[in-house]
Amino acid sequence: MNEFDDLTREFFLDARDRLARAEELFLSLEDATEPPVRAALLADLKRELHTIKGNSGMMGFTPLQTRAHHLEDAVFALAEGGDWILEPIIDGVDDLRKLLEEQERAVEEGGSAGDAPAASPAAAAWQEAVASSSVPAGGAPAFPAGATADEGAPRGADTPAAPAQASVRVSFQSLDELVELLAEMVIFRNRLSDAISRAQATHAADRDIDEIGLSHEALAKTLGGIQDRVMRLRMVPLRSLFGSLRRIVHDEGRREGKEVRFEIRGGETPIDKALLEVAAEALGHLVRNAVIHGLESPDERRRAGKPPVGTLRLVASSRTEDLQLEITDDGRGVDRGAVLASARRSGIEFPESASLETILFRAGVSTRRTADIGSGRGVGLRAVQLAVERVGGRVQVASEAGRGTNFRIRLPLTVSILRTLLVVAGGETYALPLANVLESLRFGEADGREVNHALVYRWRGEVLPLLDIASTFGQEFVRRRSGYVMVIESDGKRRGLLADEITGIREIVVKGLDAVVGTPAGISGSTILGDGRVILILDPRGLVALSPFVGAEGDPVRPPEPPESTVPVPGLETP
Amino acid sequence: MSAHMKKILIVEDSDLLHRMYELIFRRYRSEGCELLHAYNGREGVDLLARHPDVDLVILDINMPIMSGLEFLLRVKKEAAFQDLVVIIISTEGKEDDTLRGLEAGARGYLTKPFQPTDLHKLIDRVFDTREGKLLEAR
Repeated sequence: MNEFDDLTREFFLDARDRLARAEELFLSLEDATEPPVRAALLADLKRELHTIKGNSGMMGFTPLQTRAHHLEDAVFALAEGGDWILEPIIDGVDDLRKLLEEQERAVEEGGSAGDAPAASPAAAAWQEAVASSSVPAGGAPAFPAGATADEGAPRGADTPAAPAQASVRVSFQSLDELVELLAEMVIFRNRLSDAISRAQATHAADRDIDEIGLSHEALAKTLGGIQDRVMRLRMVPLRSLFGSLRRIVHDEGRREGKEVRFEIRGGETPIDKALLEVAAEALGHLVRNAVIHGLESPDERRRAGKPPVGTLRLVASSRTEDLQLEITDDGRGVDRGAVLASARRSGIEFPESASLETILFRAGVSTRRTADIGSGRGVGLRAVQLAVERVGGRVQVASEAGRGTNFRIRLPLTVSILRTLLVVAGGETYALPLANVLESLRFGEADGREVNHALVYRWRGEVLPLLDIASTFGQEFVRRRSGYVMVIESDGKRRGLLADEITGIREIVVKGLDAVVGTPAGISGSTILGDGRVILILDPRGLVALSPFVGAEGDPVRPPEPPESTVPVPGLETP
Repeated sequence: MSAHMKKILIVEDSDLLHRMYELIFRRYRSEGCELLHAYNGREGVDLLARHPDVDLVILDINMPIMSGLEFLLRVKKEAAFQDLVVIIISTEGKEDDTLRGLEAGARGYLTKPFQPTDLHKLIDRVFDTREGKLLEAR
């Protein structure tokens, strides 16, 4: 029964969501001390469990209903008594989740809800009840557009085919596609902008041109508005991470025998969905680190004159230019001397002036005294830094021995994905925006021609100036015998770019949309690949401006002098 | 099936259950009945105000933001809705509210979990005892 299957799927989704919320509420209860806060949390908790129980019953999943019922009873008991015996309840939540997953698998494997043993009594009743309508078997319409012409659609303009929704579900893939289209529109807008500027320069008094200019400005503004909103569509509240973080603190705290008080602020802070994973990974590492390494045992804390319960605080906030996540603990802090000594033992010598980030985030450095190599704890911080920098963010550390440690992660507000062609030229890898690439072809010795000291390439009836990527960016010019040529277009001009190899298409993350000051012509920025390599992103507009162009008369014209590039390229300094 | 209905109002806070009712009432919908959806008591009152010719209300007694009982008391104060058939959907533990609901004018109740056929039978019984008043098409 098609519709019942859909309903069953909805049920599982709904149950999982509610269970996740219930778990978060449970863990929040651990920290809640004021009666009104506890009461509110308990009320919410009861609702979620009650709804899971009711829905499970309605769908015929009796074992789930029973288990949810028991959990509900346990919460009631908690509300009555004063003692916080949360352990069995948290285990109960785990059990319920496992059962839920089991049932979901059973249903999926069973093919349809009708075959799954747990659901069959209800399924049978459903099929009977639903099948007794006048719709012939062959014409069963897909849910929720059940009201087709066959059935005699309900009359009335305000009867929706499905329950009225205040929102629409959109897949992240659709959003990404929108973002890509927008990125292309930006390129076209820039082209248009340039053309208009040129036209305005040569036709200063033309009112039509002015009109075009004004309209373009308005269009550009609207485009910016659309971009903003689409980017914001990808924002989700940070809160969705917090459940698992609380879990980590709770579990590790139990395992290490430490008492930790975990305060979280800023759950409503929005974060780009594409960054959620990075944030989850980074925060998970840092939080785990803090509980295991940062905070001392209750005895040690008492000896140090600190309260036995350690405090771990996570504060998330939205700033104008970025998103900030701060993890602070009041533990033993980082003993700089110990870290330097440990590094020395591994053969790494740091200068006195080295920053805390440099020493802590270096792979292989660990302050764990006992042999804990298998857990790779020292590598964790480096992984965090890499992951954060890869999306254009930064991690900073501040610490005071004996007082505590503070990690500050800054992430960009939005993330643009740019589809690029990765090419290798002169041993270096570059990323070329795919949107500007018209064609890539193999290049042989016979393909290049020299016309008045400029290399050109014949392409589809055109003669294109050729730019050798390797020599454009500092290497000795070597007449290329073979390789690849990419025909690019920017500002209506076409050029050929020479490279040794084409590695493939890669989506790279571009940090925001701000211009990078001081980059040499032909480069628009840098990015970090998944393997940690920093590579340069080519700028088609800049490249086109660099290469010689053939004038209308047919004679090559001397190109403008490329600007001096003495500013070091950011991201290329070796750590 | 004896009841012939044009409009059914569902007042229920669970999205999932609304979709369930869509299935449960498929047989009525196939005969031209409209389903209206409200997610809390207040929305229910609003929808009723706009559709005073609703034949049947399925009311969840256990909702936040204007509970089922509040909705019922509010609605039954109006002369226009004295005849409105309301069926309460209750849960274990809410028997007091259910009783008060029946006293306030609800015509029947069902306790979750229930089978679709239970609801159909209850509806038939409720409309039959009204001696055919609603059997005429409006």
